Amino acid sequence: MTNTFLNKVSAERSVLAVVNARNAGSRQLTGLSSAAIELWRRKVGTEVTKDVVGPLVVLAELCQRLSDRSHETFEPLDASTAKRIESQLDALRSAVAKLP
Amino acid sequence: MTHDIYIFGSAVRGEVSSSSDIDVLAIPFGACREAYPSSWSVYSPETIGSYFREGRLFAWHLHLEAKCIYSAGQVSFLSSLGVPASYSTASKDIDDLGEMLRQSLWEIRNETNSLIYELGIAYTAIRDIAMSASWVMMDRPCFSRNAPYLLPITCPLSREAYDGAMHARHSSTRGSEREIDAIRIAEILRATPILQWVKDVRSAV
Repeated sequence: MTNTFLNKVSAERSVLAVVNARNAGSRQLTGLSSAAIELWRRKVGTEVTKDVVGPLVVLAELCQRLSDRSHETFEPLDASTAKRIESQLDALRSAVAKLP
Repeated sequence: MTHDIYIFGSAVRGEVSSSSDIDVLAIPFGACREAYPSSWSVYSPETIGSYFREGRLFAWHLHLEAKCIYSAGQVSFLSSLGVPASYSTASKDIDDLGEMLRQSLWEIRNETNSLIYELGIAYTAIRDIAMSASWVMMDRPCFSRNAPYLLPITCPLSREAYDGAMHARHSSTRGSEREIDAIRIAEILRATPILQWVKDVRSAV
């Protein structure tokens, strides 16, 4: 598969991999729902995570976890959304790299 | 803001446990999707209509179980759609979900740093495979989270591991803070011939 984000699950997986590379174990981000992001923020620290949460929420919306809210469906992503996800992932990587 | 509001899922079936929540579906008739609690499912009428025309399993789930608790009109939107088209894609859905499960198991075997997310995906795939198969293998479609254990071909995964994976899914979707022994659940999942079960179910459908 040339486009790794054609599937919503693989897109979410890629986002989580970036965050959890620095936050394993009990501090791992467990999903891209707003509730899961909020739980992670509380565990890791609201001040520490403030620069990560912005790109994370954008990515969550792009993955249709927050905007579509079709919690239990696994739909293919369209190509333009996939491209935007790739671009936002760069912003997320930069923010995660600055985490203490 | 006008909308229909429904409840569906375990509460409608009378299935209650300590981890139960109420599944709420909102169908807004306008462009104000952000106005609803983040825990609700929000679908446009166009999307729901297309699901009914395509005979998706979710459309049948709503048709058979959703209870309207508020309607903007005299007749609820779901009632106005009538009966969904026949569900004809069980085999394909099981193939897709089986692939999703295989990918998740691969991540778990390769020591992913997102173990709770992957366990939740595995749970969802196993549950939904059973729901899809129930259309063919049972007297009526089964939308219970217990569906893998109600099929004639019973899921070989222990209930302890299945329930643990369900809590992992709840962490992903609801931000549930329940303690999850993810490493132990992953060990059990790896040792269970779950893909053979998927193959057996697929053959029967």
